[in-house]
Amino acid sequence: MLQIRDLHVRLGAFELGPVDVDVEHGAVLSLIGTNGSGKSTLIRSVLGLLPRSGGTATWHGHSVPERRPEVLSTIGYMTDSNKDLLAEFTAREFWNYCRLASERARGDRLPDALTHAERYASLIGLPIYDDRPLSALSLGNSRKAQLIGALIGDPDLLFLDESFIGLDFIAARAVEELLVTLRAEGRTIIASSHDLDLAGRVADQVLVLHDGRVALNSSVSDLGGSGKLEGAVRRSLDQARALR
Amino acid sequence: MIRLLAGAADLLLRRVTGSPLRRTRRYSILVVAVLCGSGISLGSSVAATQHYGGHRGVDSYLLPPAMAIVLALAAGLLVILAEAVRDKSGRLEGALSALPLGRRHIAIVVWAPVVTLLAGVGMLMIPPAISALVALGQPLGSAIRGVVASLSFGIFLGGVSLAVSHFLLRSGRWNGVRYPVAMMLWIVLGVVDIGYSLGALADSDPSGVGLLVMPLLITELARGTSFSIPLTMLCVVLALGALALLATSLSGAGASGRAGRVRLRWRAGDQLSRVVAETLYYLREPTTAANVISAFLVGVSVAVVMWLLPPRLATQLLVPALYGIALFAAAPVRVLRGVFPRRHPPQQLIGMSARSWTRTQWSAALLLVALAAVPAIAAIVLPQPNRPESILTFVSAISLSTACALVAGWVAPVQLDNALGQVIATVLTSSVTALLLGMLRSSHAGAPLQALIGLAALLLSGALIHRTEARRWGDRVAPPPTHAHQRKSEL
Repeated sequence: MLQIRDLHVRLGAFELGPVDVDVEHGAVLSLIGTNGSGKSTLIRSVLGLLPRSGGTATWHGHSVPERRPEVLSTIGYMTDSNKDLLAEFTAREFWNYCRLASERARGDRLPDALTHAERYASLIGLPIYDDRPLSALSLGNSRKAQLIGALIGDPDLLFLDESFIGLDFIAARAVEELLVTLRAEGRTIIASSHDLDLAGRVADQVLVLHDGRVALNSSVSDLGGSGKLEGAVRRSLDQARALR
Repeated sequence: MIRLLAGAADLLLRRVTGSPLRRTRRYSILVVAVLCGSGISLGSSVAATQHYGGHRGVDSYLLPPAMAIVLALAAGLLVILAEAVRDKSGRLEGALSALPLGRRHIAIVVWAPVVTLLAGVGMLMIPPAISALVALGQPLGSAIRGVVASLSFGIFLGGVSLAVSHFLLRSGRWNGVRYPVAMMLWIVLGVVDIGYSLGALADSDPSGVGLLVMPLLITELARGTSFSIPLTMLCVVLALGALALLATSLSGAGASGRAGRVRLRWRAGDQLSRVVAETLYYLREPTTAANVISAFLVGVSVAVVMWLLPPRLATQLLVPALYGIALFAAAPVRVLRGVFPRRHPPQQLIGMSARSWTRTQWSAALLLVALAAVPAIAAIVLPQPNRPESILTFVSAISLSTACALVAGWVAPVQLDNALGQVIATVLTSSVTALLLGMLRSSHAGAPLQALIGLAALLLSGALIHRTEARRWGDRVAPPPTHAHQRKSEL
């Protein structure tokens, strides 16, 4: 289980927190919020990429922000920018590099990693060119390669920050199916997105942030199912605005 | 258009003065800078008049030519700096292209503030230079023509260097390479011109090398007669022509930043092959590749010169040649860290530890240095009778140079699009390295001890870059688990 307790982050004038959330193993948490509400900040602080001013984040009892290799080897992360890639590598080279990094962190070999990567690529419609670096690919294709890179280490916990940016509608549907498959395989997924319909279809739980504060933390079923998600999110945001 | 220009000027000011400052504070810095600059310019004029007024020594005829050379170099440097100061990220062009503006208007908005700023700085040089020439006995009109001609010729050299580099390296892929190429071209043109000018001054006959213009310019100033109007006109026309050529070459530059095809592929094997992967990555990155190729070419050129020199002279120049090759071969290493963002490089985001990454980087750096240096060193050292000592001397120099470059690159990484920062960092790192090499040489330690000191510095640099990066990443350093079961049982 991923447990986030009393997490606080201070970035200049922006403050995130307190954030308290539990995500069950094998569940999908959809992070929702207006622009600048703190979704990426939350993910980055949990991963130890941003300093916390307080609080903890544990994955099966192990602190995530400490970035111990044995914990990181069970976590995959896709950032919200396609600049966070090794752009001079081809997609296959990038995945190979990610594989070696994962193997080193976990002290174990991942012999099927590339086979899985190619399967994912075929699933989400990413053409693999052996002579084109990632910098020569379109935004959508480089994002797909980035997503597969996050999956290379066979992670149990996956953080996806705006993973649908730049994807065409067919690719977006394919990625959605991939998320459903990953959930069925028992992986825990934390995905930030602006698409409430998608969140309703895929997520088990939603965490709505507004201006650094948690406006709503609930399971989708408690909100009355995916059909009532948008209304609940809107109401929570209105309440949060009124409180501010 | 005026408001756009004001906005672009404000952006430039923000870049020059430091972005966090408020607008009023930036403007107050600008006002203070203008007042200080004017004061210095006027003060220098008065000082030049007083200092040179009574100067009638035997070498007084050399002062105007020297002044012409300094003015030309300063003007050329200002033109070259324009490339460094302007926004090369393409973000300004990108934002402007969303507005209903033609390419010419966009170019004006991007370049006008830069040109104005540098022209302003250039103008400050004029009054002291004219005062000095007048004080040295030139009539006022002649002094003005001499100064204008010198500045124009400097603009011509700088402009041509920039235009040629923009024309040859048009693709956006070469954004990071264009500036050093222009800089090198300008240095070569300047050195050739000054060399021939000094020769012409000694012979008092510029006829043979008149096409270079600078020999004509300085011999005319040295004569002390009225500076000719046609030569002034020629310099002004050359400067305007170079600027026009530059404007033409800029209009099509940097249009596409997309990478070409990959020729040499990497097939992953074990952990060791990550070093190959990192090395290959750097060789695909245009800026680092250009740095390595330049270092390689410098090394080969030195080797060729050493072959052509008489054996006795070659033996005397052996150590400086080895040190020079070491300095150049290690220089690309400083650039490596700037390839990736200072905060959160992709390697950190995919879960790699700082220890693991810096180890690979250290090894990749050594591989790149070896690629740049080994052929030249082999060509120089193999024919030497005292081969072991030469090899040890080179090992000490290359180890120390690489250590300095690694530490400089990791402690103060400069992003590749920061051309001015790159130049400053290169000059500083090279100077410190040269100083340390000089100290090592003058320590009278034997060649084996010097090599040991160099290798120790290299090892120490590995530890230092690891500590620097681990602190930057906020890593809790822990050794990787030895058994796969450990992971599954723990989680």
